[in-house]
Amino acid sequence: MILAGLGSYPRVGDTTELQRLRRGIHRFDRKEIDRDDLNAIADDVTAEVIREQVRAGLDWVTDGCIRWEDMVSHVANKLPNVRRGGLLRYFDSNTYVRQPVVTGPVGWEQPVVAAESAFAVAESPKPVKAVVTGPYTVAKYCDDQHYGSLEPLVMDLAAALNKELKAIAATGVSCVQIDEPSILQEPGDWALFERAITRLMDGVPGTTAIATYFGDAVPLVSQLLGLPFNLVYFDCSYAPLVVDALRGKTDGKHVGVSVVDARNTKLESLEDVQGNIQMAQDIVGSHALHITPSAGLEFLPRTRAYEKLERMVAGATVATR
Amino acid sequence: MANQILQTTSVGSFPKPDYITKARTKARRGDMDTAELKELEQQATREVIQLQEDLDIDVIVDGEMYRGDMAEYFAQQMRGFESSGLVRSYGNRYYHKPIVVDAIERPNAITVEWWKYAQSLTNKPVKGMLTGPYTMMDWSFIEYYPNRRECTLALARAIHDEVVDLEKAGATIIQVDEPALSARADEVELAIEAMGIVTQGVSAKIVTHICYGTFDKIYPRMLDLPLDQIDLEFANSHYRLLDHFEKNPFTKEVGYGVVDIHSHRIESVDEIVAGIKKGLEYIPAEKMYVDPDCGLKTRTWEESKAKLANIVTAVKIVRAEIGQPSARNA
Repeated sequence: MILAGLGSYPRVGDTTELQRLRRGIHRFDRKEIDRDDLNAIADDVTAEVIREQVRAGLDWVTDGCIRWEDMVSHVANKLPNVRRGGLLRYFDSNTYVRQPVVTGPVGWEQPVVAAESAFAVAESPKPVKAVVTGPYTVAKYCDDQHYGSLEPLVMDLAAALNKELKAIAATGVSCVQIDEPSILQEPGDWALFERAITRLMDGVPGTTAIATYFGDAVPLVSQLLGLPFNLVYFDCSYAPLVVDALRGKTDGKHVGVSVVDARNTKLESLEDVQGNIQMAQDIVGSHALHITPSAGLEFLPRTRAYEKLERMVAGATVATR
Repeated sequence: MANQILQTTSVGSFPKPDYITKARTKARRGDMDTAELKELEQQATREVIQLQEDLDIDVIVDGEMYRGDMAEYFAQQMRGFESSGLVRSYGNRYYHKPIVVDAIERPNAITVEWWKYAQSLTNKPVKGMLTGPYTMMDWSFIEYYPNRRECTLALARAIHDEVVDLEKAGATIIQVDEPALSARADEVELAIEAMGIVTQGVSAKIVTHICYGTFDKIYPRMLDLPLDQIDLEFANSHYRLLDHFEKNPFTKEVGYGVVDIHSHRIESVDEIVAGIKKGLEYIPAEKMYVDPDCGLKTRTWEESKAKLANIVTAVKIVRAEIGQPSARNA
């Protein structure tokens, strides 16, 4: 069994010290510090967040997506013919993303975020998982002023991100995770989605994973398990029945099941966490099981995010005793 | 006035003058007492109402000078809420999100004193302005209630009491905003049920504002909301929302947003006239209230004034062209 996060981690906390990235970005915006100064602060906070995940007891860590302006536009807005647009609401999270504005054919010229993965790998004593939001979800949030329909935009994004994923895989990360929450809202787009994912993952080496969240994955369980990934993560806070729907379907594929809600401060009881882990073990088998929060943790205050990880780890310790 | 077609209004918030922003920061630090802050908030409210009078707007808002976040303001004045550690809103913006830690109650009226103050400054109707139960629930962490539904219904009962108090005080139009409604299509029925509790037995005109989201998934179901008027953003989607009314006619009064509140650009009078005329193909003039897409608090004072002035001019042009309903029906 592997204990892992799903990507983002709160980048600020309630003390002055824990708000240095927030201040750094303000000072950068006011031109009081330069890009190198800001990067140094982001490096420092990333290293701190990695240490925090290790201290909580995770087996795999992420860089916390500390540098991401939001969950949609971080990679997309750095690609050719994409610029940063206005604010758009991100699912039902009461947070907002910068809409990528597509003004021409989306391409790829050079790695745009691979250096972030390399930094995390160098900093972490534990295996590092890199996270990239997938072409379908990015496309659903784009202001498309070029293609005129979804399919060519998704496919060009898939081709561009494929090159980025290969660059990320070469940095020594232990897993590349693709986030595709939007497909749960639009199961009717499955055929297009599957073509895009096939293109996206073509020739990407190493362990790969897909994460869906913010929706009910039950109707898509078999299809998701059939995609070219080693590992599929499910949000069991939004849809608790998903664990049962996995019964008899995993066929050796590794599966991630969430046992703490990344969207609510209410701390799950140790008994509940332990019980849910045991049930997942019974259904999936412990060798093929990953235990996670339901989504990235950035929706929670920092202290509670840490407590949720601790609770998850404690539940797993009891369940495997 | 009551029969005037194409009444002009605003969605709620206005930009806060610098002296309010500074005063609120000082008050938070304990460097200004609440009486002094309130005096400044009243001054700003007077300025906002005077501006709307000068622009000849028909239905007035108080501008929400005394509020910060639209969920936090109500959470702070109800029982059952605490404030969370910082969480991100977007980019580098963070806020303290309400946490429901106990049974929700409204021990005292929340907005009635401010409404009375605002109404005392004008002869035109001032809208009561509340945040709806579904949105309050969706924008809070929920630790006390076992599920989202029970939390929403508890909020609905508290907000109902506030609506009743506003009506008793004399409010004839009360807006109960549900911007979160468009985020989660599978909970529209819950929002409708909650609004039923909010508006039960109330005779004031009830309005709700819903922001653009997954509109195609909540329309036409949202027409079942038990209220009189739904206020929507039309300008920022280039009036594409109207396409939905082709197949399923819009059956309520509409709050018709004709200027984009996220844009610095001042929409021209001609552009707004054209926008209103597009809407009139689907909604009769008697049932159309014309306003900006959303609250104006992210715009500057000058931008807000210019956008509203062009709305009023555009409405007067259209009114003159189509005449009053009695004349048309004759």
